Amino acid sequence: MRRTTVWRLFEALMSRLGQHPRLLRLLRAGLWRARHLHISTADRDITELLASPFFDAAWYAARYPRMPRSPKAAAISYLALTGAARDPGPEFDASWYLAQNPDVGLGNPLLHYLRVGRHRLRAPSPAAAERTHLARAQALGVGLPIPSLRLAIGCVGSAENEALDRFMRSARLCTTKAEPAHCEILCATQPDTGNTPALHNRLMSQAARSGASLYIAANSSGIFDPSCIQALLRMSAAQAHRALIAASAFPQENPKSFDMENFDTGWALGDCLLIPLALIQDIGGLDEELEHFWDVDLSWRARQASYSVKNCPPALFHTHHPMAEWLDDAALASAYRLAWLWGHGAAQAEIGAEISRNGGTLPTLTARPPAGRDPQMADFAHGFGFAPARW
Amino acid sequence: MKIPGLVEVILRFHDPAWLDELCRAVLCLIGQTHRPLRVLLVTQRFSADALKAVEARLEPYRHIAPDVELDVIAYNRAEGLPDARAALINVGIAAAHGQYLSLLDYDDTLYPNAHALLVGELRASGRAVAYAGIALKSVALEPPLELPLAFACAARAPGDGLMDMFRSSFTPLHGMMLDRTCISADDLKADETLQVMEDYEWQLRLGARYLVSHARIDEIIGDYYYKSDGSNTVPLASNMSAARQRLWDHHQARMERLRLSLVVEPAVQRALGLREPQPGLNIRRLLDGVAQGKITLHPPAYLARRVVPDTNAIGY
Repeated sequence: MRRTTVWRLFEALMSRLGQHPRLLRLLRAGLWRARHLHISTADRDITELLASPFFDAAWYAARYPRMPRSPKAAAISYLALTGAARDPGPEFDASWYLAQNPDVGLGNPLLHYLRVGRHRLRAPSPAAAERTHLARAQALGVGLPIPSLRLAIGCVGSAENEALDRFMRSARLCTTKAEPAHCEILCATQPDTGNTPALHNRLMSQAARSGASLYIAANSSGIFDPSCIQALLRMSAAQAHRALIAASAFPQENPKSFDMENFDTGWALGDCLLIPLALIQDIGGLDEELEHFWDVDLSWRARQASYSVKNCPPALFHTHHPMAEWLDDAALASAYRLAWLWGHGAAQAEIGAEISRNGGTLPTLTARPPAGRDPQMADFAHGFGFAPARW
Repeated sequence: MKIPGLVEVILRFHDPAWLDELCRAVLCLIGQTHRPLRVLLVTQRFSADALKAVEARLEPYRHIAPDVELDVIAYNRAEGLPDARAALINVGIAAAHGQYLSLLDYDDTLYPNAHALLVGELRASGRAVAYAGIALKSVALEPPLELPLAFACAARAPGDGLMDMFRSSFTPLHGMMLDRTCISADDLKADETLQVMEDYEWQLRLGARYLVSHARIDEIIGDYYYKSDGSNTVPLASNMSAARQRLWDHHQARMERLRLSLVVEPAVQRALGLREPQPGLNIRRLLDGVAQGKITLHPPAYLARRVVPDTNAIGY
């Protein structure tokens, strides 16, 4: 033990602190309390503290007199000596954090925040909580008036009569609540000619001709929550209508991750998706060969064209996505094409092998994918999630 | 007279401040694929203004799904416990007249196929009660936006069948559906003296007396939300206090007394795999007997029928 870094630091510290008997007593008492702490654990704690932006050794030394100035010694002192409610830096309010989070118990509040709290979206200080709240409200356009513009809702899918009736009732209700936006509902339910992206392309052209600037691609088997379109329009206004915005699939939300402050996400789900028609003018329509994952492709292209891609959690769209349905032959064929379009040969080969294992035939592709897609925009590192997952 | 095929859901609503959450619950109900459906929204001692606000928020959902009956029942009895959790169930049951009964709290959700799956299981098994799985979702609620931002979702709580349910509560109430044609009205009454665990008491009592199916327990049909604001009834690290701990300890002791007093019906014993049902066997003796090897359970039939869902992971 006497050869460990911590022990050597401790000895050096002791010799330098020899002229401060009171501090020394406190330090000894702290170490005595921590006598069961394994040294390797202490090393890990120190490393974690030093790597954290919330531990500011200089600030700490200035704030609490007679504290050691070396960062490592200050970290040791913070862990072993200080009361739990001491702030380790200007951005972490230990007393507030302890009051907000009784589950910290007797543990160190900053270590709790680093290991548990931040992953559970807890704030390190009231100021940070306020900043986060403001950032969210700003990103969502909370309090903004609903923009006065023309919007088309494109209803695509195959739904039996009752479900389609529910969809239409919810869409009409939403559009009346979304005034002064002028909304029209366009329908192309299968077995109308064409697959989902082809039908949306047709409806988007129709919408553009009638002067709409925004289009909501919607699955006709879903239900709009009454305030869904209002929420989408406010968020679009907050983003100056330069964002692809997905409503939240409810009640079984997609597990892909998104930024919890500005709601940026890797790709936007196509079940209920607000698309600025200017984006379609810029990049062209949806890829009609992609029966599935056309929304993933559109999202990556949108990002490449400097549009943002966002989730809108307050906009709920009731929909049903059993996972097994995602992984049928058509989904594999679409994923194969997606990998080819984005120049990800390894992913394409893997998906191709999976298609062959299932006894399927590889989709026919031309010699080269169309130019213009930047492979760096695509994410094939997370399987069919196409983005990191929250769970 | 119970209307055949009608699913009725008792939707308990305790606090008018949570109207947004209530609307989410109503949305997930009108989106159920099973019909006919009736929602019995039972409010707990709301003022006239609060009730008006509830009705106003429900109106759009009535418009979207006119085929779903959406009735509000105001529970206003001043006497009884402040949190009338069990009384709300009983008021809902008194108003119900359908074959199937299910429960949902305002802050939980069900997936679109939930009722269809449970009704299908009740019909296929002929049992009185059917269970399916409920995922446990952790959400941060961000006042004043009150956005439930989900950051984690675990598989359902561990537990496979009735024996596990006798040991501890592992399935939230909305993972359960009853066929009322198989259950006596007296047995349906929830115990209004319980401040918490009224759902578990109900489950224990029904489980000891009626045949229960856990064949679909691996299929997730909804979410239970662990909320960051500490408003869950169940004790969590984030909402625990000495008083809450005492309350839970007291009710745990009551549940244990129930295990000692509830006799497991012979038909239930047989379904659990006891070849020779024992008269007067209570839940505690059954659990201890199995743990000590004095009672042997032969593989129960429901395990053979167990439906294992396709758990194809996302990935290639």
